[in-house]
Amino acid sequence: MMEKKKSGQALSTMAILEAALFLSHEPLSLEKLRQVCEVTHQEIRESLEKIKMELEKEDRGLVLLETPQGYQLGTKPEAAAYIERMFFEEEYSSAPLSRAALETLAIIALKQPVTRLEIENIRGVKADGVIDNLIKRGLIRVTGRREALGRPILYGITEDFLQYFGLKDLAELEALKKLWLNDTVFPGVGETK
Amino acid sequence: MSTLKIIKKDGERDRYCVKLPVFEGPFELLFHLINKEEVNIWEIPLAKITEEYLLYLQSMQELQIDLAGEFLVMAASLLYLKSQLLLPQPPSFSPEEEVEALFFGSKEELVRSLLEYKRFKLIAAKLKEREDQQKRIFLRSPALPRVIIVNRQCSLYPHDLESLKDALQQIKKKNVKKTEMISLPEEIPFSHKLREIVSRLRKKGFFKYYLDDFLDKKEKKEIVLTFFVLLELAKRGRVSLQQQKIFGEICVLPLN
Repeated sequence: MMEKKKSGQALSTMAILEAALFLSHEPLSLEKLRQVCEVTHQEIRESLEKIKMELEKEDRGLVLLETPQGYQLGTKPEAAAYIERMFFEEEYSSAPLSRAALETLAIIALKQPVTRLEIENIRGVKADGVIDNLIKRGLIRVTGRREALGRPILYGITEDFLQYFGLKDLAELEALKKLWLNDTVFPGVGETK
Repeated sequence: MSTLKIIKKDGERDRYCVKLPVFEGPFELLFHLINKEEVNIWEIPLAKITEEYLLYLQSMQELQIDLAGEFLVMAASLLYLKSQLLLPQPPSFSPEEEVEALFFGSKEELVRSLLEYKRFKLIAAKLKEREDQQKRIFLRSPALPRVIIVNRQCSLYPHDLESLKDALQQIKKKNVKKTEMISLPEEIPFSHKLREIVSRLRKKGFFKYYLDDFLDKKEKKEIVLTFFVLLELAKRGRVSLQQQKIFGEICVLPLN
């Protein structure tokens, strides 16, 4: 697809998008990309899809990430060890979430909005510390209060949660939730190990 | 997860060397014990599991590990279930009141809780996989593109005479109060503070910080030192520093 640009250079939308994504250090929204390229949403989406497929080839080192804020380029997970060796003195990683935090997040993601007591009942352990930490990390937030005895606080996940786990939007989470629920249906029999 | 191991060392006067896996909560422990039995979850040998559960609590106590209350509630719940199955029920028996404080009142409830717990344990593992995957993707860090964006609204100097006068008065006010001598402190060496800040940034991950977050005592010396350390980190490309307006808060963004 050829596009006449102001500079007079003929460049495909795909090439323009690639250039913009290459330079950007934050996600670029579909809307912004559309405005700059002066084409339709549809065309942007198609071009992004093409870039994504192109990058999936074995001899490419990048991935196109879809985040709640838009699109961004990242390095392929398989390249992680090399990137670390190249740019970081020691093995690089920010602290991963604890098991308790992950279990709590799993419950909140599936059952939101959910109260602290409901979380504690499932895990059998106090949850206040974990919840505080998750709020500080910005992965969950208070979404309101349940109109019940004591008006308990309700918790839900945030946009940062989606980003942290590499999810594009709530729809993607919903699809994943269905998958998870199917995977974790336990028939009454055959529950060994 | 390793299993409960009790190894008796010979000839050492009955001294036990106990290796205990760490359990997050009573459900995790119970789940582990049931898994070890390799039985259908609907056919849990309650007597055996209860016994093993209590044995585990006992070894925890022997090792003087602080037992969280929940572990004891679970023990009580299991014993209650066991007693219920052993004793004939009086016709007028209504367990609701007694059961309230326990985790479950019937074997069916126990199984349901365990399955619910198992579900979220599995989903947590799936989240973990995604987390690992995401952590292995690197993004362009804000420091890399050599594009300097100049904020035209932000000027280093006040524009008019009035604001100049205000600024001067502010400085005067400060000078009157603060006559304390500043020299770089020897008590908190530079490298010490540097390590402290780096480990703090690493532990917490990528958030926005303010200069104040790194101060413990808020003394003038410490502020100066911290400021120098942050400048050094910025020079090394570990953090990015932002200040919206002059004398405004300094915002610290860790870079990967």
